[in-house]
Amino acid sequence: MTSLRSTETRKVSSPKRSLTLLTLRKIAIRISLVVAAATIMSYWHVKTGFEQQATESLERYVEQRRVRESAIFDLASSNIRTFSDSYLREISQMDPQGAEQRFAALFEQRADGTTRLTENVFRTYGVTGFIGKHVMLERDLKRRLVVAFDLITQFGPAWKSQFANLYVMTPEGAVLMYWPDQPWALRAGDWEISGKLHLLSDKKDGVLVANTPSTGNSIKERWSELYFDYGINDWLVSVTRPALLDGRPAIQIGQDILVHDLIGRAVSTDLDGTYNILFSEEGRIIAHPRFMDAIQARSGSLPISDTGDPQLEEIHRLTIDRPPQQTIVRSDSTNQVIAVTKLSGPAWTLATVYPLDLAAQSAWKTARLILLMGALALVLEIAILSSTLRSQIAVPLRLLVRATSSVAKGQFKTHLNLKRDDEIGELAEAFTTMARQIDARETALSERSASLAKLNEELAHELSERERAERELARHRELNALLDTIDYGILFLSPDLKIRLANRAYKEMWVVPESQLAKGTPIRDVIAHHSRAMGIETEYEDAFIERSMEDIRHCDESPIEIQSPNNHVLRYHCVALADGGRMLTYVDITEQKRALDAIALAEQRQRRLLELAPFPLVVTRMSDGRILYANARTAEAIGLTQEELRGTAAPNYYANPADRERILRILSQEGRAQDVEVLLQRHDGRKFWALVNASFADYESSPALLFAFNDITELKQRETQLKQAKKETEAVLRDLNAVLETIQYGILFLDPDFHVRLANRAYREIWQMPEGFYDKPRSLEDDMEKSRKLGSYDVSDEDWEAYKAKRIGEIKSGVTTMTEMRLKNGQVLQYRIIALPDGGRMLTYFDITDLKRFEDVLRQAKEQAEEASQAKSRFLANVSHELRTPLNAVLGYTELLIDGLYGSLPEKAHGVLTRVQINGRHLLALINDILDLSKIEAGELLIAAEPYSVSDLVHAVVTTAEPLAKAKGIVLKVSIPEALPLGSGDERRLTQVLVNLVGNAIKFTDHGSVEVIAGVEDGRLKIAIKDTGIGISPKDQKLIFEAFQQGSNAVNGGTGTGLGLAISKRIVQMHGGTIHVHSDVGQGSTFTIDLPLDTRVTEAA
Amino acid sequence: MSKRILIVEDTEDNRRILRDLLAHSGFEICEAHDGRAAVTAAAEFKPDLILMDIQLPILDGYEAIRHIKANTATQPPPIIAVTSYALSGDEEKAWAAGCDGYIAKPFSPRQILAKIRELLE
Repeated sequence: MTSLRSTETRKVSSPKRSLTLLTLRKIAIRISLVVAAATIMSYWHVKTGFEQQATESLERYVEQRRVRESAIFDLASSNIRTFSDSYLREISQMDPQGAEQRFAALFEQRADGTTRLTENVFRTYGVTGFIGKHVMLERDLKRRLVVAFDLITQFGPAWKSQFANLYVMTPEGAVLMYWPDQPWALRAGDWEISGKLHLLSDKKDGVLVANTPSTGNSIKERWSELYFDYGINDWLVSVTRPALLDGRPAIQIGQDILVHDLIGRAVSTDLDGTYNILFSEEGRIIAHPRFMDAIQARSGSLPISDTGDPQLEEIHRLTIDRPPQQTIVRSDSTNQVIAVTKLSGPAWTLATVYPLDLAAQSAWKTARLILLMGALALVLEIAILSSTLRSQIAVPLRLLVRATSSVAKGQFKTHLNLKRDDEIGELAEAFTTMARQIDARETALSERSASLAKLNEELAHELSERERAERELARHRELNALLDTIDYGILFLSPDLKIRLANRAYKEMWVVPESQLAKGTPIRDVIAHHSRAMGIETEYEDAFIERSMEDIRHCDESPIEIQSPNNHVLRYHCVALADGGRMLTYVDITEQKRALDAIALAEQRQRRLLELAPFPLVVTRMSDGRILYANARTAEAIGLTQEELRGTAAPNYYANPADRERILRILSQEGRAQDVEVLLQRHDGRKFWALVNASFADYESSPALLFAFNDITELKQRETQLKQAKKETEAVLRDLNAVLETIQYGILFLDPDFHVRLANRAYREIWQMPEGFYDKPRSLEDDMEKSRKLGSYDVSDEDWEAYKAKRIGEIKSGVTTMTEMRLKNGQVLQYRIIALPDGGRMLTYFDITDLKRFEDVLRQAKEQAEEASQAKSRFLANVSHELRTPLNAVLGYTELLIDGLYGSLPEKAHGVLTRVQINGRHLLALINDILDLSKIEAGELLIAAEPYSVSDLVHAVVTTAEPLAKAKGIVLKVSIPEALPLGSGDERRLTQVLVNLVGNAIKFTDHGSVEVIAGVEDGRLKIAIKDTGIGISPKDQKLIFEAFQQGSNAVNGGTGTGLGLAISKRIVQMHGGTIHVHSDVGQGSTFTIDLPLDTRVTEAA
Repeated sequence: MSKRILIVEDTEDNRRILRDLLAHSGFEICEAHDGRAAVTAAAEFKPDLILMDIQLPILDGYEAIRHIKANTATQPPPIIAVTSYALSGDEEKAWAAGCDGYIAKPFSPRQILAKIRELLE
């Protein structure tokens, strides 16, 4: 039955994949493959055919072109050869006398110096001729020209139809030109003619150069390059050939060939899709459909390499590389076939390019047609096949399917008659037979099923009975297990007070052997066991048993505690059961009892602790706030005894009762109140501040509050004082901060743990620290890292860690040296670490960038000054040398002359030479003084500060001056005290000064004396030079110390340089001294110099 | 036998003055125009005294003196430095270079002759 039902649900539906479709698809694929293969094969075949055909026709075509295009060049060659032959023949027969006359008749001399054929000749023969003005009209030339003229008039008209012209040139530069349309040489200028000649000349073989014998016997025609003649507006190629007479070129015969048509033909094509290229052997393009303009622009000379066309270059390369006889070249890279041929004449190469794509295109057309036909055939075939398959196979098969599904539904009386005798007919018949057999078997099967169902029902009932019994048994077992797991000892008794059940806990509590607890054992026996276990004396045993039995019978409801073996305390309870039985339970409460005892002990201990606490402690009842307990300290604080305090209301002791509410609120919110400041009041009303701590507590098993407090009145007072002090400190700090913020020193304060305590404005500005950076705690390292991130440090990444460690190390060591620090932005900081008394540090930074810059400028200025000074010094040395060298010669020769080294001199000459010598020496003195002065001015003169003896100095000077004074009859006196301290200065220079002053004094004194007086006055050395000379006027006194000034009384032509006093004054000043003059005209002068003394030693006389 | 004197001097006039003076006084003279020539002459001519100008081309007088003092195997002759560098320190430099006399230009021929005679005694 079931199997049938499930089949029904499957239903008859059309198959997922149609057989017809499948078959058709397979056939279609196969036919498509065949068509595709045929298409490819035909494409290939046709393409190859076309290519071959194209190549063959190209070959033919190119050969035809060659023949056709070469014809004109061949003709030109043959023409000039004929001309040449005729010329050589004619010239041998020419009568020289006749030639002279003929020449005179044909040519005329023009005003410009040239000789030309007359205009009449041009009109008659169409020939023009030109002989340059520098050409010697020799007889031989005339003869050659006349013969040439005759031949040109003879051949020219005959060839006119195919060639533009015919001309003859001589090596001397004479030209004859047959060109009826162009009166070419009639009017043309010298340069036009020579232009043409030049064009036709070949520098390499020098055909047109006179007196150059042609080498060998090879008479070669020469083809010019292609060129565009703008005169006739056409492309031309010229061919020339020399005619040799006695091995030398007599004339050069030439013809210009119009190649316009040739190029036109070359560029246009006869074959579809192909194009032609004409190029010369040198690789110049002559004709190309795309480059004609470019060719013309380059005067017919366009190298292939200049086109920039790689395809063209490839073609050129291939044509060059090919074997000479091969006409067809294939270019794989450009996919082209190129037919190449060489034209005769100028030896141009004609290349016809056939792109292979053309063949491929034709082949593709054919292949496409085949493909189309194949596709059409495929469609038709599939249509026919489809209809056949449907009528012959699909319809009968569907009938068969329908019959099968009705059999599946249980309708076995199906008859399938397809009336066919093929395979499908046979299948239908076999199916009908099968259906009938299944029908018969189905009927027998349903009868047997009915009897089996009945038997089944009986079996099921029996089974359910058995299951119920088993469930009960299991429940019983579970109860037992449960009883065994609980810790209550349980004993179930039947109504007749016999054991029904005893659980594990009971057995363990009472240590009863299993055998005595068997079901049905009288309870009395068990109780007897209890009595023994509880250690009841034998004599009371019976009474115990009786009382116990009585209890059980009456089943007293309240539980009692009994002592079990092993000193365990059991709570025993007897419960009456509904069926008249009893349940006895035993609970072990030994542990409970023990815990209770422990609590009692703990409370006692707690109380003792409270009592011992070194601060006031109070316990109040939560419900009404009454004091349950107060320790001795509390009593002391409040001013009552402990006993008096107990039972009083805690709120009484609050100065402000709201405070208690506050504490309770804190307690309820946080579970405990900690350090709450509260004003409390003693029993006598005195108030005091207390710090209160409170928490919940259990006191003698009831909820209570525990308060602890401290008298902090004194603390409060101190706090107020502190607050005041703090306020004052803050004010000071504020002022200090204001100062710190305004000063230009960047200051960083560090804590003893090297955290930033404060960074003032200048610091933040110098280091460009961002706003608010110091709002967070920052360590010294944070600060440095930040500055580094800001790019302040001029330290490379590699060196950073070492640098930082060094800086931090320095700061920690607290060494207070002052250092300079250069930041990356060029700022220079003066940096100092100062250790603070609290272990912290103060770092100060002072921006000295400007100072440094100033310092640099100063240093530079100083260096420049020093350099200038050195230069000056060098200059002085050179001047000194340069001046002294010639002076040396003057003075030397003079002295030798005076000394008679060069023979004796007339007296007069001797006197003059003496003057020369005196003047020379004066000049030397002048030079020396000027140099000295310059040295002083340049700061070049260095003054030593050595101790010297004044006495020695003065005496030395006086000794040198003595002869001079004697000569003038003057007394020279020295006045020096015995013990004079040593002077300090440059002895040599001071000698110079004294020599000058003493010398001057003698010079300006004619009578009397000169006295040198030395002494000490006010710790200074004074040296006076006093004379009795002419004196100096007050006006002159102001001038004499200036350079180049002498007093108006100075002797003319004297020996003074006028620099002596100026130098002396400078030297004295450089010693830190002064020089003065005191003088009255006619009375004499006194020069006083004031100099420092040597402070170290005193001269010992 | 007359004494030989090497005159080292680059100015023709000054050389001539010395030559005329010394030849007249009976000395045998050799002349050198520059420091290098002076060194060579000192070795070949073997003078009894050298008058050495300091400002010389190629090799200056001090250098030349140093070479002469270093090269001569035998006792080097006395050398008188003749300098037109009358600046302070020149004389000291001359003594330091090992000169035996020092004369500043312009010199007096008499003075120079006296100095030479003094050194040759």
